[in-house]
Amino acid sequence: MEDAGSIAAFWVLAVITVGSALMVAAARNLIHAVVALIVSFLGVAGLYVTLSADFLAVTQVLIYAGAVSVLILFAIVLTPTAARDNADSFLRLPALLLAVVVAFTIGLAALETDWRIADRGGFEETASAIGEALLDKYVLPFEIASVLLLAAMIGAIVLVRPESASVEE
Amino acid sequence: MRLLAEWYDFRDLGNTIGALLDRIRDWGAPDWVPYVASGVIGAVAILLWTVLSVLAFIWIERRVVALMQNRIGPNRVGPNGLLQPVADALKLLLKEAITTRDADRILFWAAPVLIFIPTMVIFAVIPFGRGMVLADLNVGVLFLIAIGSTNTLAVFLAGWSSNNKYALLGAMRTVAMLISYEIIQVLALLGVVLFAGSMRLGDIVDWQRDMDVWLLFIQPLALLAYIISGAVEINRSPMDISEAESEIVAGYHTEYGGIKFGFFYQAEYLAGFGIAAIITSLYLGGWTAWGLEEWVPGWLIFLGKLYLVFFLYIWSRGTLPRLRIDQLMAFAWKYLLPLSLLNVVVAGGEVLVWREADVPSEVALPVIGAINAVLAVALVVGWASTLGHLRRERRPARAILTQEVGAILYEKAAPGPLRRGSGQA
Amino acid sequence: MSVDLEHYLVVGAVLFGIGLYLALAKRNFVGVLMGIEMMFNAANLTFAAFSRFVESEMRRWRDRCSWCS
Repeated sequence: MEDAGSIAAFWVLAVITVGSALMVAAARNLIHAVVALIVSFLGVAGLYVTLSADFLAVTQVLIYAGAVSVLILFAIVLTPTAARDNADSFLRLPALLLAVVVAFTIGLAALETDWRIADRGGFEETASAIGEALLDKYVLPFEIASVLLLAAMIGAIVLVRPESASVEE
Repeated sequence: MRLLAEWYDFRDLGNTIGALLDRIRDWGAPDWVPYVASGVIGAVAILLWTVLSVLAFIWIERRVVALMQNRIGPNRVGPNGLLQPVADALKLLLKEAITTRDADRILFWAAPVLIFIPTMVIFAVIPFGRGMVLADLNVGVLFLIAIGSTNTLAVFLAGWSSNNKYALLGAMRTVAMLISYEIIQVLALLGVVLFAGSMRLGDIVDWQRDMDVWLLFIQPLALLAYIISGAVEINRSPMDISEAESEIVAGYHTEYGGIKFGFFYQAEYLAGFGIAAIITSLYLGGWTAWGLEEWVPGWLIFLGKLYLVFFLYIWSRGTLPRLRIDQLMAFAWKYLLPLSLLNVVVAGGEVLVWREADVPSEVALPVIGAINAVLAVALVVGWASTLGHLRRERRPARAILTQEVGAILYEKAAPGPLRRGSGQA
Repeated sequence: MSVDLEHYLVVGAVLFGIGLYLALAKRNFVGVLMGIEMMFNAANLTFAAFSRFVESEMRRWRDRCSWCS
């Protein structure tokens, strides 16, 4: 991708993504951290668009910025007021060291490996390809994932069901 | 009447803009200037149109609802009250911008903006006419749903940052409503995508034009589900439980005043236009009207249909009583969701049979339409009676005052029409 | 100056590192959750970058598929 528009788009989106990810770590209020996380999700969605993965970008906005963020916000609202700060635990420095080492290792591996790059340009349309793959080549993982989600939903309903059945005589 | 591609052929406003861009290109500007210029022109045009429509519909809605409620409505400001929207806008602009003391300043300021942005962005993928789409995305339908889901976040942030118990309560209720009805929206739009074979809105409108049929006749149940869930998404009566004055002060925008409330107000109308635009493009044929678009510009047809659909929403506001939040949620999960799922399954089966058996569309579409219409009526009535909603209620005992004695006599419940008149025991 | 696979992989690695830090060093459980979500995003981004730039079995399957439209 060599035209000025793509390069500018990538750099702006990358700065937004990484910057808001750092804000998640550094924000003092938990809700501000979640909002920064949402901005980071939207930045990643923009990066998907630059990679011409249109379906993935829109699904990222729908699922992450739309559903997962609301889930996290609900989790915050429904917990007691004592735990509303975004403080770091005493393991702050070792965790920082470990994170830097891991990121550095992965980055170095990424830069040093000779990827067989076959840049055939972007995709025209990915939604139909994803749909066909999910139902043709990868139908078993698809079905297993749907059974897993069903089990999770049933488990959640069972967990919150009131125990009134045993009270009534 | 074929004037195609001349700049004065206003049936496709792209002709005029294309001529302007060609002129710019002839002046020797680099390649990206026409591209950016067309984007900017489209965005400014949509902005102008939406703002003017909101101003017009503030007046129209208040007068129409007033007519339905047998009163007059605003008629003081300007001739027949036509300057009422201007007065409203000026009032909101001139009010003091209060930020409550313990509110979260950044989020409090950002929430109205965050609510306003998705409602504007929806119009980027709507085909206003032949080739008049600002951004004809391959995943247009999914984009609409995704943008609608970011609405949820903004509402929650508005309620949270107000530091107000009622605002938070209203915001939680609204978010619960929105995420429930989002699923139904997705399923209703899925039926459309199954028939049209593409998620691009321009392709769906073209499919309706090529098959000479509106998707309303083929997917009536999906249209019904989408109209209802659209009313919930825009927090409109009869589903405005989260922001009605008599219920929860003003829900998530209690603490907002002045132009911040103006943003919420405008976003509500814009979202209404957005939902109406989606319904028009996907179910009512968009800018096509069985050949009328040869003479009348397509965007005029589109705007006419859009305003008709929005009038439907205004009508339901003036007519129907408000639903409680538990009634809303029960309706979504127990009634609309099974119906939408069944609709998707049946639609998928029909499309499969149609493609596999290679039936010509003149035969297939009326058959499919008839099957879906019968199925819609049967499901709506049948499922409602299965859930127990169609049972006739017993009339409770009514007190009847007697004139002579002045005492209250209770009469046994009568199964027939209620006996009116003075107290005959 | 063009944008290559390495750029996306470095962004993914940085996001993964930040997510790892959040998952390990936050006292609040929701903070840990946010870190895990960020690591998911980083991995997804890397997947999408590989799919775009590297010759993949998926493309060859798609090109070979005779009945796909």
